[in-house]
Amino acid sequence: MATGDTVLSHDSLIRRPEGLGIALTVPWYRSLWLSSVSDVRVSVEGREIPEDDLRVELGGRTYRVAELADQWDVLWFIQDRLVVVVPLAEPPAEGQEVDVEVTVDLRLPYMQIAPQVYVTNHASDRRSLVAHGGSR
Amino acid sequence: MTTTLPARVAAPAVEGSGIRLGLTLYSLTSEWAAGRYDLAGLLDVVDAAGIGPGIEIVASQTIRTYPEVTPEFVRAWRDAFDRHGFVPSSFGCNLDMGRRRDRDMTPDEEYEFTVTQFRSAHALGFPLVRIQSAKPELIRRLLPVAEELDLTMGWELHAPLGPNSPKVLEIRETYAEIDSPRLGFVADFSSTMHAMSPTILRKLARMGLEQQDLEELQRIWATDADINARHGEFVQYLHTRGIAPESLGSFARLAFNMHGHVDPAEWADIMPQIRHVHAKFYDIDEHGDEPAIDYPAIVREFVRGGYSGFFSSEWEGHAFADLDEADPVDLVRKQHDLIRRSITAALSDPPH
Repeated sequence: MATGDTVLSHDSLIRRPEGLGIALTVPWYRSLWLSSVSDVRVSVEGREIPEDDLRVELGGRTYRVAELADQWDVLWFIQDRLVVVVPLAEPPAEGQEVDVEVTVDLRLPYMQIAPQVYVTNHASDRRSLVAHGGSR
Repeated sequence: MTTTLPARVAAPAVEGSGIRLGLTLYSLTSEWAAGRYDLAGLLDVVDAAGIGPGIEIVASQTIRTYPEVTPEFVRAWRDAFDRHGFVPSSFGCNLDMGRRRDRDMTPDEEYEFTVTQFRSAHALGFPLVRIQSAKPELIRRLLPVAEELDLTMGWELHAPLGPNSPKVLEIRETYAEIDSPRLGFVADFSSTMHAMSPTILRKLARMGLEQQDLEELQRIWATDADINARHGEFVQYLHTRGIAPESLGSFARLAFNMHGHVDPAEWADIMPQIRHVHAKFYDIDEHGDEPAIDYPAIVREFVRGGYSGFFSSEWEGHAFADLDEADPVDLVRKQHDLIRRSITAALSDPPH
C-alpha cells in the first residue's frame, strides 16, 4: 500500500478486554489535525460496526468518531497510531486471525478548493490480521 | 531570543557549477510513517549513504509539536547536524486553513500560523521556507518577519503548473511589484515531465486497469487541456469501459496533478528567482536515467542559467509504491550520480 491508502499494518490488531483495538496509520504523507478525519468505518468479519459503538484513542484521550471534527488542536502525528476500539462479545484469542476492513476519510486542511471546501482522501484497507498483545 | 547556527556551506556537486546536493526527508515518508526510524536514526541513515549534505523537511511530517519546535527538539537537531556536517536547506511550511470545521482561518490566523513556522525554521537554522500561499496581502505582511529572521520565501511551483501558467504569471507580477530579494520560487521537476511515471502506471494496473486503459490515460495526459478537463475526459472514458472511477481511489486524479508536461526550457524564464529545487523523481532505470524526467535536459537549463542552490532529491514513488517495493536511499544515491553526470555534460557543452 502507498502513502495515501495505507491504514493497516501487520501488527494493527490488539487484543482488548472489551474486544479489539485496531491501530491505524495516517493515510497521508504528513501529520494531520484530528479534525481532518471526517469518518472512520470498521467492519469485522464482514459485519459493519455501528459508529456509535466505536471509540477512538490518541495520546491517552478517548473520542467518539463524531467528536473528531471538533479536535482542530490535536495533532495526529504521522508516527503515532490512532487506536479504534471495537466492542466484541468474544474478544479474539492470542494469535487468532481476524478479517477487518477500515475506511478513513480525510479532509486535507491545506488543500483548499473553495471556501470551506478541501481536497479529500478516501482510504480503505481490508486484511486478515493476527490479534496480539495482552489486555491493557 | 534569536540565535543563529554557524553558517555551513555545502560544496558544489561538480566543480564549476553552483548546484549543491541533498535530499528532502520526505523521500523516506513510508519508512518514517512506519516508525522504522526516529529522527536521529533517519539522519544517521542519510549520512551513512552519503546523500546529504542538504537536508530539507516537510515540517508537518517531521516535527511532533508542529507548527512549533521545542527547545529539546532544536538541541537534538543541532547536535545531529554538527555530528553529520549537514546543511539545512528548506523548511516546508503548510498553511492549514481548513483546520477548523466551522470556518476557514482568518487572515490574522493565517499570518500567525505561518509566522510560527518561520520562527521554527529559523531556530533550526534554515535559510529558506517553502510556502504554499502567495496571496499578496499575506506575502506583504510576512516580508518583515522574513527580514528579521533572515529567511527567503519560496513559493512551490509544482505540477500541473509551469513557469508561464496564468496563476504563476500572477505571482510573478506580485513579486515584481514587491521587488524583494527575499521572494522566489521552489522549482519542482514534477512540472516538466516528458511521460507519466511507470510507478503510477504500475499502481493503476494493480488496481485493475488494462493496457488499453493505461494507453488512453497517457494519451489524455499528453494533451494540453487543463487538469479538470483532462481528468473529466478520463473519467468519461472509464465509464464507457464500465470501470467505476472510485475503484481507483485518488490515483486517477493524482496522475494528472502530480505529473506536468511543461517544456524544461521554460525554467529559464524564472531562473534568477528559483531559490531551491525539488529534484522530483520516481525511479532510476538500468541505464541510470529517470524514465519520465529528462534530467540531462533540465540540468542543462539550470547550469546555463547560472543557478546556485540545492537540488533537493524528492523521491515521490512512495505515493504509488508499497513500503519496501523500492529502496529510496539507494534510488537517491543513483539520482545524485545522474545529476552529477548531467552537470558534467552541461559544463562541457557550452551554448552555441
